[in-house]
Amino acid sequence: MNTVERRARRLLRWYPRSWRETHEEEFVVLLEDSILDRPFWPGRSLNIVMNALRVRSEQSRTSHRRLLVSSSAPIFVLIVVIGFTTNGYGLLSVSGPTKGGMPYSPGKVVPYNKTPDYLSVYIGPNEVGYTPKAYLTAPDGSDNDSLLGRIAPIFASNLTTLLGHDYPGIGFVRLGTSPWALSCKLENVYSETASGGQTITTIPCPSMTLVLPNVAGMVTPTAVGELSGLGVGVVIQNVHSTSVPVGHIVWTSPRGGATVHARQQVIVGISVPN
Amino acid sequence: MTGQLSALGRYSGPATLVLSSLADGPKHGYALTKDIEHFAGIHLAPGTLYAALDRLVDHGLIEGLEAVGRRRPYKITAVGATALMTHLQAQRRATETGLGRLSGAWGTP
Repeated sequence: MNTVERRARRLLRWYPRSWRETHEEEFVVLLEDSILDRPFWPGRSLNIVMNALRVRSEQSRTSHRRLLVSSSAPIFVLIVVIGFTTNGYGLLSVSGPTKGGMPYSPGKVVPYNKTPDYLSVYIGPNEVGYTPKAYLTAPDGSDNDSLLGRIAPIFASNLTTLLGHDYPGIGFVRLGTSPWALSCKLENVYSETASGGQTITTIPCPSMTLVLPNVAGMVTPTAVGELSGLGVGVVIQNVHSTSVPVGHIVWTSPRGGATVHARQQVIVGISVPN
Repeated sequence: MTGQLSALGRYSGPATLVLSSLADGPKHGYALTKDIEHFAGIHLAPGTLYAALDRLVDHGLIEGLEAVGRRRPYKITAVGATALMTHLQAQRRATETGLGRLSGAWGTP
């Protein structure tokens, strides 16, 4: 083995074994050519080491076991330790829930584990509260999690004092206050029909009561349309049912026939495939 | 898999150079670096080149061919060609706008 090849293979060892298995020869020959072509290239070795560590860290995200057993380069062990202390694994990091605003990244969905445990929500002029993130985002990124859209508890900035609840369509309501007694303005909701026409639905104030129709067994769009048109909030939950065909309503909570307030939340169980 | 070069994030620069180089036929690593050096005046370091190649393969924009001796040539895919075309056309619009405004405001260079 000549010196150039030895130098190339030594640099290659920074890459994880699985990467070397597919790229070893082609990469060594590229390095040999590169070294022969430009013997002195400050930064080339560092460039290789940095990219090799990047490949390792990308693999470690998919397999922590592999990361721990493939520590062929000593400095890599150090990087693993730093990685664990800063990634929330709790070796050196300060424990306790995190709080903050919803992270924003253009064109990307922010992963659940990168979202603070408690998200800040606007609850009124000069007032910000925090709500558990499960009410605003789902662990698996789906938009059909059972907690999503539910009436969310809101905590003060120290996360201990309970201030009240955020009611969909009504807003923040302090504990001890009935959301249904609040003064309100009528709300118009504009929607488009399949034929392209526009319909305007006026949502009544929470103080108004109505009798919930029985929509169990109906096909979902019809049922949700009927409930929304009455002015109640609809939260959808997936349900596996042996008797109700897929896409139809299995149950509602409260049930049909119950007296509810306008803007009150109604949970609708929809039959989904097993 | 996606046909968007912008999905490659900070690797979209090297990836554009690699795709442009492969547009006229398959090349192996060293031939790629020499070609890119020739047409763009950029020396792609080996680590950066392979980071870009890995991502392009993952996104289905290029594919590795059977190795010839110790060297493996890479080939642009149809998806890659479309993505490169879209990306370069967008860049051309930006370039032309910039040059047009420069010559309008600062005189023809």
